[in-house]
Amino acid sequence: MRGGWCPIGLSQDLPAGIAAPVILDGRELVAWRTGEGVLRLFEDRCPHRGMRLSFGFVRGDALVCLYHGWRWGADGGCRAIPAHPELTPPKSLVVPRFAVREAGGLVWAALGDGPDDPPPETPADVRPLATLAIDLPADVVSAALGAGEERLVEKEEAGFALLLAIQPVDARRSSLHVLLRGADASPLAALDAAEALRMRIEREGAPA
Amino acid sequence: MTRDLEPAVRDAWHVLCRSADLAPGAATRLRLLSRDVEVARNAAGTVSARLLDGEAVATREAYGHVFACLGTPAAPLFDIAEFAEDDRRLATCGAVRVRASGLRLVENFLDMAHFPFVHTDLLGVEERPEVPRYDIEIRRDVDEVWATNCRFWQPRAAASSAEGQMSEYLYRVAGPFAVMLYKTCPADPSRFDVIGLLIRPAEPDLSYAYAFVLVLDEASSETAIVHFQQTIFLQDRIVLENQRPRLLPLAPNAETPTRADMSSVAYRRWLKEKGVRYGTVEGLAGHGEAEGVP
Ligand code: FES
Ligand SMILES: [Fe+2]
Repeated sequence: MRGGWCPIGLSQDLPAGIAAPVILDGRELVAWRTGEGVLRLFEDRCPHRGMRLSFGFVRGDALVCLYHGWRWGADGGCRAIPAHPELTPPKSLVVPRFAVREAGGLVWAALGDGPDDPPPETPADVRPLATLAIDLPADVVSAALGAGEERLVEKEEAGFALLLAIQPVDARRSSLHVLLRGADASPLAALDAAEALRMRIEREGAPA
Repeated sequence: MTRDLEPAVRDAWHVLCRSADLAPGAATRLRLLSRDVEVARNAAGTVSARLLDGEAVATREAYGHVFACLGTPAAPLFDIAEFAEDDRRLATCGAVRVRASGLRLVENFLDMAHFPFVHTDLLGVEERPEVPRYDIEIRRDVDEVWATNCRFWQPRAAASSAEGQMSEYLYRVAGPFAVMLYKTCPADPSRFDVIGLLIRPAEPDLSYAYAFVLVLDEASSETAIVHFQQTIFLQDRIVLENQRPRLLPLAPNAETPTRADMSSVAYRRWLKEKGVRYGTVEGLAGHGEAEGVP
């Protein structure tokens, strides 16, 4: 499979040293950033005994599983197995990784190999606002926003220029990552406008 | 109604509830192996149970709990000899609901390697995470899995212990959903405390755990003992409800065991040999209620 880029979050919500669960197209993933700021996207499942890695914690440049403390490096390889301090983990012991990129305050991911093209550009004058959860599938949200096939769409709402990135979460849910254009606009008032937009989409998109 | 259950599960004994949860004259409905079971105690104190569609099922009352078998018992209820020693005290911890396969609960109970990370500063410390080699065997005569010569460094191994010790353990899987451990008793190092975990599999991926402790501890109150066990188990529950898949995979390449997981490997092999499917990934097709596997 060769999926395109999908937005999965705002860069500001993933600071260094943090691991967070992400669901994209029904797949459970974990986005995490090393202490030095390198961003990674792994399957949210430890190869050892299946524990969700998003419950783990970042130590330096490794993601440590909560269950038995196995350490996973940024390349996906297992660095250490605490129950056997003398053991060097085999090279074949890896967590599946997915392509992840950042552009203009947005985090983009691709299931499968990752496309050759970079993720969509965002204008230089945007500021990240918030991520809103919507109880509707992404295609319904896209239709309501007139986004067509695009994941990123600009929308005028109550006088604010909002940049909206649509994430398919699963068959019933999506996320809307909201950025604001223009240096003078008030983020708090823009957030109210985005929230009103979200409520309108849910009202219009809800099955009758 | 129980014909679709494999004999290894249908003909085994499973915990239903605690004895204390069933007063004389009381009756209650419980879920066991995706069936509704009504269990009652008459005025004379005798316990009986039946499937809601009418069939009576075999029951036993022992070890502070009520047990049932939905088929024809393949063997008597497993013996826990320490219950005959009258200087011991029993503390039962009651039911804890866990959204996971009961087989995952057994595996977690058999596992020492998680102590420093899940029970930090209670059953293990991060500075001493090593699991020394232990022995494992499937005892064919009694059809049980045993892990012996287990050792692990513990900062506070029981409610009664104030300082660290190298704890010695024996683990015993007495049934697909019944497991216990024998552990150096801080009050008398020549004897063992017994800690058991009896699981009522309600659905393939939904369990009720009944932990008990049979100890020589005279100092701690029953409340303190129960509280300690509950603290431990609630820490385990966070892990258990977040393992993927929720059902236990029996295929050898589904997960990645190391030497510390020899007991889990033997347990899975034993389950496979017996033909246990309930609560496994492989049994998913046979039992409609389970959630999908990612
Ligand atoms: S499940 Fe992750 S270290 Fe064991
Ligand atoms: Fe535990």
